[in-house]
Amino acid sequence: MIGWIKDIYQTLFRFARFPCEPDTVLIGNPDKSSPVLVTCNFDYTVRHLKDYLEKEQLDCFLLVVNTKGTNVWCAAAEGIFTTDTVLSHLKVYNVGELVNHHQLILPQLSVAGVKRKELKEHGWEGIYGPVYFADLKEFLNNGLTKNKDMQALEYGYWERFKMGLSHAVFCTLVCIVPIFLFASDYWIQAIVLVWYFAFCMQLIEHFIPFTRLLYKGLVLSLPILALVLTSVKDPVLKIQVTMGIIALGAYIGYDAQGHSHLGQNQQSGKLFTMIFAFLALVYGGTLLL
Amino acid sequence: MKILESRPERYDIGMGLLTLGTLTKIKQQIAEHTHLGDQVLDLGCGTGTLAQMCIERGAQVTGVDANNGMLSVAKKNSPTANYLNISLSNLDEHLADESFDIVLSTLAFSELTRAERVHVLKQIKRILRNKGKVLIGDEIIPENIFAKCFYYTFRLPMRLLTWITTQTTTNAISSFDDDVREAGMKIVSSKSFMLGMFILLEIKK
Repeated sequence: MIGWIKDIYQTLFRFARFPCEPDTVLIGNPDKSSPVLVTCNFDYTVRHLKDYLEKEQLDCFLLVVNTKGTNVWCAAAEGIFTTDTVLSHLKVYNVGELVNHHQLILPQLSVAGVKRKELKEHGWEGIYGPVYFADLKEFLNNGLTKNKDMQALEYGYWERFKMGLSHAVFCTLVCIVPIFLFASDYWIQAIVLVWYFAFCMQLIEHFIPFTRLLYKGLVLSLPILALVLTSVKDPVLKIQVTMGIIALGAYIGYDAQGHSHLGQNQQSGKLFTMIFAFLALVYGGTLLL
Repeated sequence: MKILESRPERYDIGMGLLTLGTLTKIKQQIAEHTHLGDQVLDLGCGTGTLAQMCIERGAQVTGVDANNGMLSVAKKNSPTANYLNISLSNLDEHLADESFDIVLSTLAFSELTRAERVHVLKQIKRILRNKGKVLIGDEIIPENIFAKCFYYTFRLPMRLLTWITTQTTTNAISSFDDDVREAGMKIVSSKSFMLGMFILLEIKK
């Protein structure tokens, strides 16, 4: 399939996994002294990394390790991309016989899962490469040394936008049934609201003064509440719309925790359940009015 | 996404759903091969349900799984089994030659690539005692054209449902024959389940 079409759907549905076949790929004409690079079998990364290495004419071995289609950073944090995973690949594909050195160039973002000390115990030297593969050529040419720029991870607005897209698609899929069950007359407005929350949770959340993403989601519901409460006249509808907006804000804020390994430890599950139980009670009460 | 984070405790529910109870039936039939005092190795032991079935029949079980979360659940479900938190491809460093009477595996091989499957089967051959047996229950793509059509129609929504529940799924293998032959072993019996979508193999050295 054409690469850019794959890029689009893999960006929109990046919450799913896109595995490619694990393998040891020969880039150019590698010999026994060529570098051995390691990556995960996340199709998006592998395609772009291969293109880059071929374009830069870097002769090397690329180990595409089986992480079931999860990207390097997530796989390392989730315990899918570990020293054990790398050692397995080295054995299954007899990598030791391909080269006369035992050096592996690992993605820097694999540091949470792949441990140099453990690799050393098995006779392999792990070297963490740059964060972005665009710096690989310079890294290899500079004797496997990194400058500060190569170690810096950026989460710029383009990345945030792409995450926002994926988050919006995912939240739409999750919310579509409840929206049609509880707000079928306002389904367009509700979906627009889902996209508002999903994008804001990525694009401007760092400006909102709370640590918990769940709270940030609730804060994002305030301007919408102000807008709706001033325009809706029916008091029962007013309460129901308020419940709906708070519910969406709380859910999308809570769900955004899964985007970051820093956010995953926020332990907001109980609070999230309590908010939803309260909203359900109030909503149930309005049905009796 | 927070709600898609892996929940090992939901694994059995999801897999029960995906296989419509067939997996439990396969596990029961595998467990019937174990006897008092047998040294049993459960590869990809997951939540330890099969390990517990074998222990209840008097076997001594070692479970292997790369997923730490799964092993935490397994330790609750089957606390008397021994566990190793390693990839199936790393058995060589942890298990001695001819140390097991029976090697079991359910839905673990379908998570491996062909190269990995052959590597693991070679390791199994090494650690299996001469009169020992290997029992593999896994998902395969049916050979019959009608069953194949049903397979693809039925599996897609079921896989989606299972993925939502467990964030994991299986990848059916087209055939085990070549893998087993390449590892230097032989299939002595084969039993199909669910229109040939699942298979239970008995393999010997």
